Amino acid sequence: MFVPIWLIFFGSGLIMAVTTLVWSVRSRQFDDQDRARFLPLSGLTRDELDEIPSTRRGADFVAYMLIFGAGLAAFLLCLVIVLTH
Amino acid sequence: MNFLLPNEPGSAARRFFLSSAIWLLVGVIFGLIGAIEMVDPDLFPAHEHLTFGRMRPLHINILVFGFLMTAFFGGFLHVIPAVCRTKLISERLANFAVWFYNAIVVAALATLPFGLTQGREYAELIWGIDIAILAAVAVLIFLVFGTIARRTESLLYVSAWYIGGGLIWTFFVFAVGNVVWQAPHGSWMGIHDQILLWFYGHNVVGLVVTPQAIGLAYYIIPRATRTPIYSHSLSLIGFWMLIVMYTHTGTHHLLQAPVPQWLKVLSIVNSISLIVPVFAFLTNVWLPLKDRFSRVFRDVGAKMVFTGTIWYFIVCLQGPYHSLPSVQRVTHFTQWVIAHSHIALLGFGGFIAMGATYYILPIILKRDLYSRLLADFQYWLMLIGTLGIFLSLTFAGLIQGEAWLMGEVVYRVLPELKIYFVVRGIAGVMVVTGAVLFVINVLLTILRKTPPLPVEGSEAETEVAA
Repeated sequence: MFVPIWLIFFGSGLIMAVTTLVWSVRSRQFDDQDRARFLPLSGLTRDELDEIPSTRRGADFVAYMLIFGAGLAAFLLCLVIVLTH
Repeated sequence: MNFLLPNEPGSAARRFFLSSAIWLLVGVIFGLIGAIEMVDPDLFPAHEHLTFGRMRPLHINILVFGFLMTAFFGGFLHVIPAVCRTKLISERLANFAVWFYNAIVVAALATLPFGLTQGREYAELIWGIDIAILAAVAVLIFLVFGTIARRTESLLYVSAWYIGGGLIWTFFVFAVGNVVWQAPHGSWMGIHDQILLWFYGHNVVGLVVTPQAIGLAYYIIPRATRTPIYSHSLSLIGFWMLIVMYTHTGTHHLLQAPVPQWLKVLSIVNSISLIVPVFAFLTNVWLPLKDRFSRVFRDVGAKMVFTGTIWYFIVCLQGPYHSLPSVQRVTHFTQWVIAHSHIALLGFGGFIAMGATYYILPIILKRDLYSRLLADFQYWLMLIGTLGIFLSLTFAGLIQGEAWLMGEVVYRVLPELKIYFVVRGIAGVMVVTGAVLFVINVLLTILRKTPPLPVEGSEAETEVAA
């Protein structure tokens, strides 16, 4: 019973994915990709697009470096244990 | 009727955001109780419904289905009409979804502490609640796809792909992972059940939280920084790669179990391959900001979403790394994995959910946040708290892994871990405090009566197409 249910799930997923892909090709969803990049900016006024942003905040930049540092430390410490055992 | 199911544009999104903030607070309080119990297991000796075994599933389910999903749903109700240049298909139905979905989370809250559970990790909710969640997601699918069908913009922006796909995946992954056709226990037999369970458990992050969070980030970061993404084609390659690669990664949780070898190999290969869609997304949102990085900090919501992408980078380097059998010798069944899941759901999904709330809520309400200062303070509390949880649990996990490889017995290792659990508890207090500030800021932003600000883009529309 497990395999038939899994196959139904797998098959319906595959059919949906292929159908979506075919629809997107036929409806030209992959054309004009450069215009698509700008869609989230639509509706903004020229002033809003040109407004001068705030200056870089040093503390926020440090925070991002802390996250990178913590991730790198976890990665390297684990690597040392993996390689030495 | 008008209060319960108003037709006012943005009302459902606003209510989803408010409920998300409240569920965040409730969920992290349960998490803090669980964290304290790791230091003092007999904290509530006379209250079995407050023991760690009840707190942990409550913490996870409230945060995934209460906090994250409601924030994402609120975001969809704004983003989908915006990128499709149309109105939401039915604001009243969206408001019905708000009440229905919140009733489901209340039902989870009313069952799990009393031991009403299916006992499968991440899939603890009882059958009736499972079916109600599927019904609620079906309503959201109708709202999103109904709105997409009415669009006046012919091209679908990548956010719509991820949000639509994410909702479909949520429905199927939830139904299959919870084995909902096997009422009332919702489980299969033997190792097949574990394969289904980890298909579900891993895909809660990969095919439920990830596409929904990415869909929002793809809209918020370009709009807040006034900078288009690097390549829309690349974003769609990332989307289709996610479909192909993510489905079978869950079995990397079962490398030590008697699962067919081909499935283990497939799960590892797919886990490593996920680096491609991850970097497709990160390239797309990070690269255009190389000369405009300062623009991220202009809006506190955008800053939180951007921070979520950095956590995503860390999470998605760790994931493929510890899917390798040689790494799992050290990390499996240790606190390392708990650290990883905290930065996935709180660091990545949570920061994007909170950022989406702070970015979209003022646009819907047409007024500023109640307090930018409060939001910044909350950001730092949450960030330091999440870092504290991540580092303390990672170190605890590596000590556990090292000790077990050396043949050390568990009862001699546990005292070594206590200090890390204390640090985790302190970090948890910071997260809870941040959640309190979040509720206050969101609530007062909604309740405050101030003259409306000029709405973004309300003046003569600008042609921004290249």
